[in-house]
Amino acid sequence: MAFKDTLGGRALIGNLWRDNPVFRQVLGICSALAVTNLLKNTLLMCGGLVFTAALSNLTVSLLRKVIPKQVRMMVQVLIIAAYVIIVNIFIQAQFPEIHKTIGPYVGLIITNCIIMGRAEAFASKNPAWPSLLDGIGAGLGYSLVLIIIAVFRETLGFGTLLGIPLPGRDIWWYQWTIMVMPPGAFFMLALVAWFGNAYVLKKEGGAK
Amino acid sequence: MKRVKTVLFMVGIAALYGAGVTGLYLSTKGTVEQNKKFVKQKALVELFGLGDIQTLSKEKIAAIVETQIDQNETLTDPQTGEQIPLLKAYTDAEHTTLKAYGFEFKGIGFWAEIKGYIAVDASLQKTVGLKVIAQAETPGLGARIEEPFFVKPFADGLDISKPAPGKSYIYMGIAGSKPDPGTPQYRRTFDAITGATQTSLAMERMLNASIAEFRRAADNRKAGK
Amino acid sequence: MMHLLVIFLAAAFTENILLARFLGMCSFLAISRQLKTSVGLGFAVVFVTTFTAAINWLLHTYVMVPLGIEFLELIVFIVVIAAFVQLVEMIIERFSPSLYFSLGIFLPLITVNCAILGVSLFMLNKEGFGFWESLVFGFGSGVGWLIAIVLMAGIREQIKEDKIPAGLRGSGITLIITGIIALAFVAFSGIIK
Repeated sequence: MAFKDTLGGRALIGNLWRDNPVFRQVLGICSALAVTNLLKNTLLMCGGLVFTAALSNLTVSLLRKVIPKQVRMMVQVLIIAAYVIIVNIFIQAQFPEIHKTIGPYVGLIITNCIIMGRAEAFASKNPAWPSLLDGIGAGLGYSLVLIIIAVFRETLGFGTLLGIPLPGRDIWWYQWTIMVMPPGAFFMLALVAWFGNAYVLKKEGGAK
Repeated sequence: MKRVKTVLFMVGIAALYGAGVTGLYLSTKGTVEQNKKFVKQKALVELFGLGDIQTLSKEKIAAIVETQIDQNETLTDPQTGEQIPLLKAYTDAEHTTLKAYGFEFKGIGFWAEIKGYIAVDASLQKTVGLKVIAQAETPGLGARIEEPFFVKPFADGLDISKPAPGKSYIYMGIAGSKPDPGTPQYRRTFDAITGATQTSLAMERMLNASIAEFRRAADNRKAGK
Repeated sequence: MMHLLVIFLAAAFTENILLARFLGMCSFLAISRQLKTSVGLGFAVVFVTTFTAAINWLLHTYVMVPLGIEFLELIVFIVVIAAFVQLVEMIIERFSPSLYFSLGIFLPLITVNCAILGVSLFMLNKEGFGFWESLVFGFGSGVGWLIAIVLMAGIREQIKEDKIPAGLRGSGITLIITGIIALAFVAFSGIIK
């Protein structure tokens, strides 16, 4: 069986674009607005999210037969929060400079709907390996959208990318402050959603 | 029976993960405290201009703070009873020439607490610097309170003497426009950050509160002498 | 009494958790298609924010600070929220199966609604907040979220969807509307010092 036909394969590939968590499932929006004004923070957040989504999906899947139905939300959130905080404490001690940048985002990763959403929708009902792949796919799909938005927002709002001023900045760049603020994030996200949705609809329409 | 099992499971898994987090926290507590202390020392050296923090080693920076900054005196605000540690920075370890005084300010920003130090000259009526040591504001917006452009008005010197009745110590101003002499804002204005109104307002609030407290305590010290 | 009213109004309007701080977006965007479901979700959120703000304040003041275990606060708060959402889920499933069905995945997702955790964390930052102030703050924030989602649902129900390009329908147009409302709310940010 080819990878793309396995349960895990379909989950991972589906989460990248066709069932993209951000503009198709409408998850992970809060962080998509908050971190995308700087590309560096976006990359750190995406890394954290792929890691946490994969790990928590794996754990929830492994425990799925044992977790009683009445407390499943508490257990899922406990697992997610514990992993994130453990990583945060570790980074705080070993890499204080990085921690200064991502410290405020710890809460945003714990409450990221994508992680809880995938744990509830997929990992609690499927075996370990496909769940891990689903988590990675969801994280990557999220990262894809966020990186696109961040490239536009940082370029237009600061005239830099990863903190490095773009060539010819003094000539053509004029500060679009609105891009750095939340409304700019909404509009950029809407554009990406438009493009993504139109593409998916066209593909589905064509296949019919 | 099922209910008991559910509760036991919940308690068990909470205990497991709780122990994991607590264990890691305790084992790294020392390192985290050290890091925080170093950040504070670095900030003080930078604030008072006692050395180039990029080139100096950790030990050297700690030594500068130990020998050149006197932290023994504490001022008391007669109105609230609040104790304000007064920092005295000297140019050398023998304490021959006083460079500047300093005190801490803190308050709630848009998202969380902001903490920092204000440096003032020997007359205690003019600022000579500002350094933020802890903040969690929006990166790219509120977080720019750490950038040179925000600190510049404080380094150039803002008037923090007692203002006219009903007026503030410090005002938030629009970048690029300078208040005229004679207005209450003259030489008391810092530049707000475009797109970060809430953080700028919060800074105005907390700086006014901290400076008012310091003013009362400093005048009390002078009166005491 | 007046003082509690001010806290309520600030939490619901000028510090509106969704329109001023941009938290709690996921369910807001997904559910605001239908007015009825939005009202249901909004009330669920009000219920959860009010009680979790109060409980978390009690835990913080009488358990975590005396024992010096503030570092566990994030986990404790979110587990309390999760417990409450589990309770809400059981109530809704019993009394309104249609609401339960239309909310779908977004009912358990109230647990990780950043707005609710945000309310508990912001409440800690407020100086001089006691039990009643925290309760009212939680209530006000929840009501603010309810107002925002009902506002959006009202707008969306009036839109003629067929005039919008296919790719923009649904989440796309909602994001643009929210962006415009957010722009308007930026204007409020200087009003109350």
